Formats: sequence, structure tokens, C-alpha cells
Amino acid sequence: MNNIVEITGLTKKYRDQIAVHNVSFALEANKIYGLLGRNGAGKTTIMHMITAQAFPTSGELKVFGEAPYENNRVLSQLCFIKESQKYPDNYRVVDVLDIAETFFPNWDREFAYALVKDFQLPLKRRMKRLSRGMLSAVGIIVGLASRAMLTIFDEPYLGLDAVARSLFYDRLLEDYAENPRTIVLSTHLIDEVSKLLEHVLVIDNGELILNEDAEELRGQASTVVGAAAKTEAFAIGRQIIHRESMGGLASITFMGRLDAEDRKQAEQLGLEIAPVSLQQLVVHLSKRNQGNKEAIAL
Amino acid sequence: MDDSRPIFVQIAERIENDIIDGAMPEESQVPSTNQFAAFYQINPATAAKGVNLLVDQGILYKRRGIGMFVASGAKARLMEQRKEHFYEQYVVTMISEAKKLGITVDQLTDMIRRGENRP
Amino acid sequence: MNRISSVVRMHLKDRLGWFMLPWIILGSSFVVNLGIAAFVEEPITTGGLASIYIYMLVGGIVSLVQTYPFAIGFTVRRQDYLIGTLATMTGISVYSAIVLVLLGAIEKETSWGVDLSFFHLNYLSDGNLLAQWWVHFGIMLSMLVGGFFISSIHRKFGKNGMFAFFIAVSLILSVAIFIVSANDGWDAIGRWLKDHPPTAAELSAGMLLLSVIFGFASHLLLRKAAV
Repeated sequence: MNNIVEITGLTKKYRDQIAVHNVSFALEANKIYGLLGRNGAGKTTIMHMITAQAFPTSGELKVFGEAPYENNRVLSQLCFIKESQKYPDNYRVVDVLDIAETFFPNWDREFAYALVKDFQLPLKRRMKRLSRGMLSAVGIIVGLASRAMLTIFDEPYLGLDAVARSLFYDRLLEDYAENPRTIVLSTHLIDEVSKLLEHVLVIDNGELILNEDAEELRGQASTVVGAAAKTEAFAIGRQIIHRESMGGLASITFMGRLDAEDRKQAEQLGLEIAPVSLQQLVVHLSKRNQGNKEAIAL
Repeated sequence: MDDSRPIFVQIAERIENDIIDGAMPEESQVPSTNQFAAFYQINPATAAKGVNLLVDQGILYKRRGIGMFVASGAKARLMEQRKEHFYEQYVVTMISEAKKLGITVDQLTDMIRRGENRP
Repeated sequence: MNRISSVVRMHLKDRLGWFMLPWIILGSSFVVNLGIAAFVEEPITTGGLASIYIYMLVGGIVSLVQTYPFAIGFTVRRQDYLIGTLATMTGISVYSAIVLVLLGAIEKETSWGVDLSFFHLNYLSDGNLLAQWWVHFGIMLSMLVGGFFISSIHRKFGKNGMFAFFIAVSLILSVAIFIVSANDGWDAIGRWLKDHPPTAAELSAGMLLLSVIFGFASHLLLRKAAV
């Protein structure tokens, strides 16, 4: 079995909307994936279905080659850390860690407590008295210390400041290097994590609009800025994904790498070339997907 | 980190720069891919890709069980590469520009000397 | 580690909720009644014992709300969760019933020095120690599982579903009462009860049967409940 997760034609319909529409993709072992997209795009629904916490309307879903529902062979190797995770009211931080140890067979206790020190968590404090940031830290610690073969983080850093987030990335990379496994990071802080990702999946409006190697994506789009007419001229025939204008200036973003010829031409036209970050790319593609849908609806 | 180019290429370039300016001498050990990944906060696979790029080019080599080392002659080879690149990127361009402006090769050479003597 | 025992541990981690609060609440009711009995001349019988049963009903309702999203969120199987929870509830009922029987035995001998009947009550405490334990056990477990069942309805069908359920139960009861009244059935029922008075132990057995049904119904409700 090569693929940790295999999803074919996955669809989830609620009474008044289609949350996930005909999504297909596969996740390989020992890679860090980014599952990106706007809020409400369907990412969380997909993750809930992968972990058997929600049920598909149609389509096939296999994790470790089997259906995950009520399947301990699969479920015991899954760890899903969501930002909305609820904990029993009377539990303290140390209680969550103790119980997590019994739920996750690969749990590393030493690692967990080292992380507790790193994030400076008060072990004896009740979960409902934790700040939003500390609550997220608990989730991160459970996610990392579980060493589950498929670990999914859904917006794991609500309330964490930049220093704590950087700490998370550091610990994640360190442990991932020593204990390879499949990690899925779902976030809207795309640029921050873009260097960590090996592969990028973008969901928009319930559909998969991008499924690419992260390194391949870099440089696949460019932004050209300059006098409006000249910029438009340069952009003719290119696959435009975003336009902006301010007075006589225009900024056009399009798909496609710029070679030396292009650069020279741009320079001659007095245009500036700017790179497109992963975050910008995802935002533009999402908006475009939205625009297409509205056009079709009309 | 440049957004428009693959990270592994940028990693390779940084290692090359370190070799050229002597920070990583020949036959010295280079940090492991995991160390690179941790330092730049990038995916270890990406770091490995960058390192392997240099291994393929003979700039780095692996001593089994120990780690990655700078190959002897690496610095010289890199300098050659960079000089060739310099030629393609600057010299060829300069000559074609000069031609457009009607500058002869002799005039060009004078210009170069003039530029060298600038304070 | 066996997932079911992990679930049991998960519940029991909440020592405050399962081992301290029920007795604190029962204890305070007891102390108040003790005080009253000390001032009053005649022997008094009070229903303060109900407090721990109500607590367990609420406990059953709350346990699902608190632990289901937690356990399923941490990738525990629904099956293991249900069995572990029912096992925990059984264990709690077993030990609580033992404590209540012991307190009842002490009361039978001493009446606490103030002629108070709190733990040892007529009808409920008929029979030997085992029968008494059985009664306490039956009521307690029914409260726990009943509460859990109510919560399961809410989990699966939401607030509206829960209201619908209670409305349906009221309707059925109303219809049943109407049918009995229409057929002058109350006399027959009264006579039957006089001829076959159910002991508390038999009632308890009936409640336990109900618990089994509730437990199974909860399983059906939670099978495909989302988190």
C-alpha cells in the first residue's frame, strides 16, 4: 500500500448546501501536506470524514487501505487536532496528557513533557481556564507527541503568538525528521508554513482546485506592475488570475514562469516583476474559482 | 527566501556561496539535511533535494555513516561555473547591447578599463 | 492499552464529578435534615436521598456532552466509547449502591440519634442487604443510562429532535391515560396492584431492563452521529 489516504469522488451534501463536491486525491506516506483554502471551503469537512467523525454522502475514502469507520487498525494511527476540540470541563492539562497517552499507542511521554516546558503550560490548570493560546498549545503537544502515522492539524495555532508558532514549526520539523510520518497542516497562515510543505492541496467551495508539489508551485505565477496600458500589453495571451489598478498603474498576476526574454521585455516596458507568494496564489485562485462559479450561475 | 524559485535551488546556492567564500572549506563536513531543515525552517525533503543537487554536481559527497563533505576541487569548480554564468548573463548581454548602440569591441574594452579606474 | 479501559479511565479521571460532588450534594442534604431532625420531637422521614439520584440523571446527561466530542475527537471508536461508558456507569452504580446500603444499615441501628430516616426508607429498603443494594443499583444505573440516552437524542437530532421526542412521549402517555380512563381501567389497575404489589426489587429489575433498552437505543443513535 503506497498511499496513506485515497479519496475518490468524495461528496458531502447537507440539506441546503454541498460542502464537499467530488473531491479526489491521494496522500503518500511520510510527507508534509498543506490543505489550504478559505474558511468554510470544505477542508474541515474533509478532515472530519477522513477521521470517521463525519460521513460522506457519496464517494470512496480509504485510510491505510481500509475504511476508517469503527476501525481501530486505522483510528489508532490517526490523530486529528482541531481548533474546536472540546475537553471535559473538570480536566486539567495533565489529565488530557494522561488520557491521550492511553488513546495513542505511539505516544512519547518524555517528548510530551519536554513540549509542555517549551510552551510553558501550567500542568495543573483546568482546561476551561486556559487562554486561547494555551489551549492551542495543548492541541499541538498532543498532535506532536501522539506520533500517529497520520497526524492532521486543523488551524492549530489560534491565539498563539509568532514566537510560539515558530516554536511549533521547529519542533514539528525536528520530530518529523527523526520520526517520519504523514502530516497534514490545514491553515490560512499559508506563507508561514509554505516552506514546511512538500505538497499543496487547495480546496475552494468544496472543490479541489490545486494539487501540486510545493516546489513546483514556486515561481509558477508572476505579478507585473507598471503603467496600465503597458502592463495590459505585456499580459496579453497569458492566463490572468488577478488584476488590480490604482490610478494609472496596474498590477496583473498571471500563471506562467517568466524566462529571460520575458524579463527583458518587461524591463524595456518599464514594468516591475514581483514574485507571487503561495498565499497570494491561493487567494487569487480561490477568488477566480468563486468568480467562475458566479458566472456559471448567472 | 525567494518566493519565485524553488527552495531547494536556493539552499544549494547558499551552500555554494559558503564554499566559495571559504566558510565551508574543502573536505570539511557540511551540516546534515535535518540541520539545514531546522535552521531554515524548511521541509527536510526539500533540504535533501538541495544537498543532492550538489552531490550530483560533484560539489558534495557522502561518507557513509558520517555525513556530507565538501569535495576537493569544489571551490574551483564552482568558481568556473559562476564565471561561465557571469559570461552568459553579463558579458553576452553587454555585447549585444553594445552592438545595438554601435559600440565596437575596442571601444568596449576602453570602457571596461575606464570603469576599472573609477575610484 | 485496551480502548475500552481507556474510555473508563477517561470518565474516572473526573474524580470531582463522579466521586466527590455526588456525595457532597447528598451529604449537604443529609446534614440539613439532620439539623431539622435534631430540633423536631417526632421521627422524620425525608426524601433527601433523591438528590443523589437526580445528580446521577444529570451526570448521565452531561457525561455524553463532555466526553463524546473529546473521545471521538481523539479517534476512539464509537463502539468502544459506548461500552466503556456503560461499564463505567455500572461500576459507579455498584459502588454507590454499596455505600448507600451501608449508610442505611447504620441508620437502621442508630437513626443517627435524632430519629431521622434518610437512607433507610420503608418500601425502598425492604428485604435483606442484597435486595437493598439491588434497588439502589437499579435506580442509579437507570438514571445514568437514562440521562445518557436523552443526551444521545440531542446529539443525533439536535434540540428540535429532543423536543420532538419529549412531545412524542407526552402524547403517547396522554393517549394511554385516555384509553385507560375511557375503559374504566383504573379500577382494574388498582385491583391488580393490590393483588400483586411489586416489591422495590422488582421495580428495580424493571428499571434495569429499561436501562438495557436505553443503552441499546443510545448505540443506535450514536452509530452515525457526527462529532
